[in-house]
Amino acid sequence: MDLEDKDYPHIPNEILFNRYRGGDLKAFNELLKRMKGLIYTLIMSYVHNHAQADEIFQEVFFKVCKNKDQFRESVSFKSWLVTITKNTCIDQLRRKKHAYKMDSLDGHNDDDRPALSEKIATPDPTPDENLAIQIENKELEDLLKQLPAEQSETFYLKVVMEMTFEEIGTSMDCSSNTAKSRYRYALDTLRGIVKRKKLLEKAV
Amino acid sequence: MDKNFTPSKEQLFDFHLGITDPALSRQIDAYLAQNPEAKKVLSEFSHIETAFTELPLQHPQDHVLEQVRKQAAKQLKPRFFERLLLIPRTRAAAWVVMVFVVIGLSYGLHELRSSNPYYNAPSVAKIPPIKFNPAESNGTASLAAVPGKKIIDPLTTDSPEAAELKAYMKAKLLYNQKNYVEASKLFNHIMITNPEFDKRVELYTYWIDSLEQLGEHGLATLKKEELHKIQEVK
Repeated sequence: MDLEDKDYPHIPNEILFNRYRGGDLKAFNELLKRMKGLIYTLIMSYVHNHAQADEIFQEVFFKVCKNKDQFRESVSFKSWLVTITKNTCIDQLRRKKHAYKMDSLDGHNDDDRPALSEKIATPDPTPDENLAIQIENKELEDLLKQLPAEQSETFYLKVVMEMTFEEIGTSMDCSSNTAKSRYRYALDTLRGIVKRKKLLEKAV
Repeated sequence: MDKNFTPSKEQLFDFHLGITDPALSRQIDAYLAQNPEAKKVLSEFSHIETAFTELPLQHPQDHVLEQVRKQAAKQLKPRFFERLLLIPRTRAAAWVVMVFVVIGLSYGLHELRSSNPYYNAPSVAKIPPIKFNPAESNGTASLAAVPGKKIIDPLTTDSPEAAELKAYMKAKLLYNQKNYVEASKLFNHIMITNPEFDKRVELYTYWIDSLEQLGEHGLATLKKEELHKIQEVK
């Protein structure tokens, strides 16, 4: 079926990718347009270096195109793309022997975290205030770096890439429940850090 | 509604994510109305999420995107053997049949031409030089052995007459060897080269017989008529 240019932005990723596999280059361009920022930012969270991120970005999409026939429609395209991105980043980091900039998982156990209900029950110094967040972008990036790697990644995939827990689970090789737990801990930890830094200020 | 209802941490978080069923949602709504502290925590969650949602994304440079697009286009081009596989089977079968027909026709034509001795007859036959050694001949050996005696042998000269005579002798040899095809070609050549060949009556006799032997009766009759004309002229 021939599509007009105005139709492409409304087509789901998976269908676009199928169209690309069938020879539709416009479909690929639309996917690239949608994913370039998300994937590049994800790569930057690993390498913190534009030159290296450019290299990885090209490699990721080269793998996507080369292995286009391995994509299964039962899996979300975003999950597949994120998995390829993650693996490529890790391979690159191993190859170039750079330190994994995100926090190591060593010594971390989700079960050691305080329960959300306990946190909720903790009296806040200003319980009646409506809060707003006025945080600079740089501070947000620094906040993410303070999270354990898996939480930071889960948070990014959920909030920025707007992936479902099923999709996150697929790309992180865990169950959707584990993904949800990691997200909950990430959000809770972020809230704690923000409060400690007094970034949460009075809205009124 | 149970006023003592206290949601679990998972239930509160699911409520924040909007994945709680309607009945439980109503209970949690009532709970939060009574517990502003819990409501505040959920509110902070939302604020943090919103802040990150608005985080500007980083983008690759244009030349990187261009490289990616080129790669994507390149990966769509099938390789040579893959292209062959892409040819529809009916079209491929038609090509194969056509190739066989062409080969068959070529072979048949070749066979037809090679079976007809006159079809391929060259306008000027290539006659290999006949090595004639007079010393091996009984009649001339004694003369050749006499010192100072110069023998003028028409077969050893390079004159056109000598060449015709050589060709005629070769043709007769072929006729004797029952190689009527080659003999006929050579007779034909001699007569084309020199229609006034002085042994033409004899030549025609051998030629006509060669044609008869080959079953070319029509041509033989034609040659007989030509022979009659030659004899009448003589």
